[in-house]
Amino acid sequence: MSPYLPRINWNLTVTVTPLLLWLVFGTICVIYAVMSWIMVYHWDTFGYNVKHKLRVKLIYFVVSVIMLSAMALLIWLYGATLK
Amino acid sequence: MIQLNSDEIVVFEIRKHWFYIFWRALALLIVTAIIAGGVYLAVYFSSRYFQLNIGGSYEIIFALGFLAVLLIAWMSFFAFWTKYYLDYWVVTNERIVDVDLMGFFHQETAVVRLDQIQDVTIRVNGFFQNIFGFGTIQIQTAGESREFIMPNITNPEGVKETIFRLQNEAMEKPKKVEIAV
Repeated sequence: MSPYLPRINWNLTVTVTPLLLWLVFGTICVIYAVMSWIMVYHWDTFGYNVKHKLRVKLIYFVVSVIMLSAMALLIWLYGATLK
Repeated sequence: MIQLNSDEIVVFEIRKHWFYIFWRALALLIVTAIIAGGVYLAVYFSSRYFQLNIGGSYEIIFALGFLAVLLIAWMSFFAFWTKYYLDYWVVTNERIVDVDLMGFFHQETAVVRLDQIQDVTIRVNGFFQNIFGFGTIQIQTAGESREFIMPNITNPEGVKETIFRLQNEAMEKPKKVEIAV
């Protein structure tokens, strides 16, 4: 570590537990659900090409679900490595 | 979705050049990389400022942070794409319709009739616009809103020529007049 960094200690202790990770994950899921609803509403209400809408929904949701599943798997793995 | 009059046909629809969305995607990628790097450095140097008790693997925490940043970037990209996709112009044989998504839950539509067009100006500024062939079309009209601007559109020269051709056709077409007796 660099000796030039200031040595400040705020006496804060953060323990990363699986519960904390699940809570953060839950918050991200809520934000994701709200954002997705807003975007899908716009695509459905103002969009006009059915093919475009289907393609974009497929790409958006498949990639998002892969990322969310990977996150859930990693949290489960983190919990498993603690035991 | 616009409502067409009887005898009205859509000649083409146009939206901003792909470079517009590419530029935003590139900026988003750079910001994502900076944030991901920032998260890594923050965890790495955190012991200087506070105690971080990670009982399990550090790699899993880094991977989780990276995935969270990536997911937010993915959503942001689609928010940009939504704006790009829902900003378009429809050119028919009677009018030009400008459909503009001003922000979420706010869409505006402006219409200019072809016979109201007085002049069409093209502006192609800078390196990228010249290389990739996009620019701004400015339409002067005789209507209430005197100017109608189509920024960053593909092939502005071709669009201008088509608008003039359609305008000539619209002027030559005999107008239907209904007289109530």
